[in-house]
Amino acid sequence: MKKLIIILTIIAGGFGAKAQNALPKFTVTPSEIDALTENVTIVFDVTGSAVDGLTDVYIWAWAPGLSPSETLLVYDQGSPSWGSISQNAKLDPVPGDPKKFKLSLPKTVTRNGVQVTFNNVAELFGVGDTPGKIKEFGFLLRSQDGSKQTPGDGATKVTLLPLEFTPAYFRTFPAKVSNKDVVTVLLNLNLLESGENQKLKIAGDITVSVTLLKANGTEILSVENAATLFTSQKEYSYTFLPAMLGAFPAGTSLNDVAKCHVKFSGKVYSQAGAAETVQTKVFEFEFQQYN
Amino acid sequence: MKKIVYLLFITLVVFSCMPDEIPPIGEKTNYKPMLAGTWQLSKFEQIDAEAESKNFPEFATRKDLTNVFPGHPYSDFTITFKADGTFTSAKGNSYMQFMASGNWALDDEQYPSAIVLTSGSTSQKIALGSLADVIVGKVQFKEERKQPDTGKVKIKYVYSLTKK
Repeated sequence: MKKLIIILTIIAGGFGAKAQNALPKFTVTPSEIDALTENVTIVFDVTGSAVDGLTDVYIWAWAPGLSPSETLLVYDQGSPSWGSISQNAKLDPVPGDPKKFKLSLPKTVTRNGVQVTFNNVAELFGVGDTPGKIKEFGFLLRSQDGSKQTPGDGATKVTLLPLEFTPAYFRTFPAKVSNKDVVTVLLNLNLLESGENQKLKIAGDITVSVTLLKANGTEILSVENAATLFTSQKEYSYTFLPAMLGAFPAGTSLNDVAKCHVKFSGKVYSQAGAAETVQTKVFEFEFQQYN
Repeated sequence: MKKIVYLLFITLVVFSCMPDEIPPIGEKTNYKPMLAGTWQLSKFEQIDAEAESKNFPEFATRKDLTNVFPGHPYSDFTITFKADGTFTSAKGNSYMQFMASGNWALDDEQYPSAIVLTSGSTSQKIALGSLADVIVGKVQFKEERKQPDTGKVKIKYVYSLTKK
């Protein structure tokens, strides 16, 4: 009988230990994020995990390949130390559910006496200017003193979508630009949209019309049917400097230029040789304010 | 006698372990005389800083603007830094926006990171790239366009110049 009790105790102990080793469940919203996605929330369900029952749960997260690899949340200055985790790493409780905690971005914290806001995962790991460096991050949940922790072997990790260039029917270079910068507009007819005149696919002599506008939509000046260049990426491009696009009407200046309309035109020829002009829709983009 | 040999041996070991004094490498480089002269723009590039940070392909990251405007090549631009601290620039047919003349100085004589151009009450600070190639007649100016609220660099311009 005694032996049986001992065996049952060992088995029960084993199950108990297993329960305490359970991985925390987590949900990332939105479900697919990259290093620059904003307004991200991660909800952790600690039921059955080593930190189940704690009122204060901390996150210890790291991104392979970075140095230091730990998130800036876990230390206020110097380098990360397991023994002295920052209060910034404390997860927020989910109201009404004591077993759930969350990490929401943007998150504003104080580091080394300075208030800092992390808008995305890249900024959480200090690579906001080089987000391409972070592909995934692993995490564990722990108590403040580190005596309790969920497995830290990478079993719980968030994989980020790669930051990839996406070809577009129309784009500008740079992607965001001010009215004082050199601007290149590009059209990719291989990505012709369904609502467009499909004859554009076979059009030649592609030209472009560019119009500069005030914030209220009033036209300031325009250039009609400027020649385009066909690039190695099979895009039709036109480069301009807003200040040099044309003569500004009296009473207007470059400072009034807030947005831009761009329309491409091409020619298709019938078998009889008659030319027909086909046009894209009007693309609009706004100029940024840069110093 | 044996003790003396030991003592000599220990002394020898101790002294041989002392760090060697690092000899002076040479005179500090004085870049100002090296920058004096006429420089012609050889390449003008525009970089989308955000695309660069995401490791986007080259065509979506940087664009060579040197000859992008027919009849208005940026390579027309020259700037002359005189030893007396004055400068003149000539944009030729290019759309280059630079002060035409005035005084020039380095922001730091020993470790320069920028050239400061002044003319009356107007001044223009031009960031310098690596100065390693100044000795072989090459220099880079850099300009950054920043988002005012965040201070984030959004667009970079790199002017590569060659000494005439």
